[in-house]
Amino acid sequence: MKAIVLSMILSVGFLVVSVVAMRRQQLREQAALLWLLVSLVMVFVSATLPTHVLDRVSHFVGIAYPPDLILLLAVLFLLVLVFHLSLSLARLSAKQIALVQEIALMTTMSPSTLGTGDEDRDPETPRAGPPPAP
Amino acid sequence: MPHAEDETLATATLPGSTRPSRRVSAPSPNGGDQVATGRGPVIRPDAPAIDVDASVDPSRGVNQSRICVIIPAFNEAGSVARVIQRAHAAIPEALVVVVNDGSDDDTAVRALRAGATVITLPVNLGIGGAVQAGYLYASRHGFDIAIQVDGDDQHDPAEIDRLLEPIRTGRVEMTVGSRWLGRGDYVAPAGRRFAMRLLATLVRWRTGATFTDTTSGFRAVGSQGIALFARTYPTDFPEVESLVLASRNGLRVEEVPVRMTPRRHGQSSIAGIRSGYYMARVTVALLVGSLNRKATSKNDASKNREAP
Repeated sequence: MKAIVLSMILSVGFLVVSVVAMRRQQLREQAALLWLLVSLVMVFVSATLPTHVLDRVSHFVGIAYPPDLILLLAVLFLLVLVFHLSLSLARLSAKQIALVQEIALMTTMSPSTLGTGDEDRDPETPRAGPPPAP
Repeated sequence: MPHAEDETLATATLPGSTRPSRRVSAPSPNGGDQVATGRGPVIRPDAPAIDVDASVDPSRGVNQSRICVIIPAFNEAGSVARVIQRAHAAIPEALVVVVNDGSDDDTAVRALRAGATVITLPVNLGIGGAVQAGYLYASRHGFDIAIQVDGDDQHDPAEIDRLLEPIRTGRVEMTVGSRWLGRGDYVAPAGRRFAMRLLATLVRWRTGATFTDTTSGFRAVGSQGIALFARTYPTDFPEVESLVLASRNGLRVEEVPVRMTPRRHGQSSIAGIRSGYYMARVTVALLVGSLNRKATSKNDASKNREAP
C-alpha cells in the first residue's frame, strides 16, 4: 500500500506542477499538452497499481518482469523527446545565425566613418552641431 | 550603409503577398529556380536590393567595383591589416569586406584602418556563418564576383587574378585555389596530408570531379555562386561541403594552382583534437549525403524557411 501512496504523490505533484506552468504560460501549448498527458498517464499507472493492470499488460506483450515495461516505455519516450529537442535546437540555431548575420549587415562600418567618433551613426541623419566652445 | 538595408526591408512586404516574403522582390540572377537548398533551416531569402555604390569608396572607381573580397577573420588582429593591404594592391577595383566573427581583439579597428569595410558579427558564429554573412553582403549589394581570402595571411592575394580569370571568361562559376598543383612550396604534416587525400576521395565520389585541395578557403565565385551561398551555406566546417553543394547545384568548379604560406599568427580553426572531430563530421556528412538534396523550387525553400 505504501507504493501506491508514494507514486500517487509523485504523479499528482507532477500534474500540479505542469498545470501551474501552463497557467503561467511558461510552456508553449504543444509542450504543455505533452506534459499534461504524461502526468495523466503517470497518475493512471499509479492509481491502477492495486488492480495489476501493469502485470497483465506486460504479460500480454511478453515481458516477464512488469517494471521493465515501465522502464522500456520511459526510455523510448525520453529518446523520442531528446531527438525532438535536438531537432528544435538545430532549427533555433539556424534562426539565430540568420539573425546575427542580419544584425551584422545592419551595422556594417566603412573606413570613411573611422575616427569621426560616430561609427554607429546613421549617415542619413544630420551630424550634431559642433561641440560648444570651451 | 544602413540606408541600403532600409531599402532591402522596404521591399520586404509588398502588397499582394499574403505573408511577408522578401523573395518577392528578388529575381535571382540565374533565373530563380536554380537556387538550391542544402539543408533545410539554413536557407536564407536573398534579396539583392541592387545598391551599387552604397559603401564603395568613390576614390576607388565606383563603376567597375563589381568585385568584392570577403575576408573572414576571428581574432586576426596580427595579420588582417596585411591581408587587406595585399588585397588592395592586388585588385584595387574591388571592395574589401572583412567579416569580423565576434573577435575579442581589435581585428575590426585594424581592418577599418587598413581601408576595409567591416561587418562585425555580435557573437562568434564560426567560419561558415561568417563567410555566409559576406556572401549575403555581396548578394544584397549586387556584386558580380566574390573572392574569399582567409584572414590569417595564408593566401597570397597576388594570386587573385588566377582565380578570377576562369570566372571572367565565363568558363566556370567557381574557382578554388589549390596549393597542391605545383605552385609554391607549401608542406603539410603527414597526418594532414592523409586526411586531405581521404577528403579528396570522398569529394570525388560525391561530385565526380577531382579536387586536390578540398579544404582551401581561397576561392572565387560568380553571381550564381553568390546567390547560392547567400541562401544556403554549411555551418561548421564549410570548405569541403560547399564544394559538394556548389557542384550538386550545377556550378562548374575549377581548381587553380596558387601559392600558400603557413600561418604566422593565431590558430587554425582545425587543429589538434578538433581535427579528428572535423574529419568524422565531414566524412559522415559526405557519406550520408546530407548535401545531396539538389535544387528545390522557390516554394519548397520558403516552406522550409517558414517552418515553426
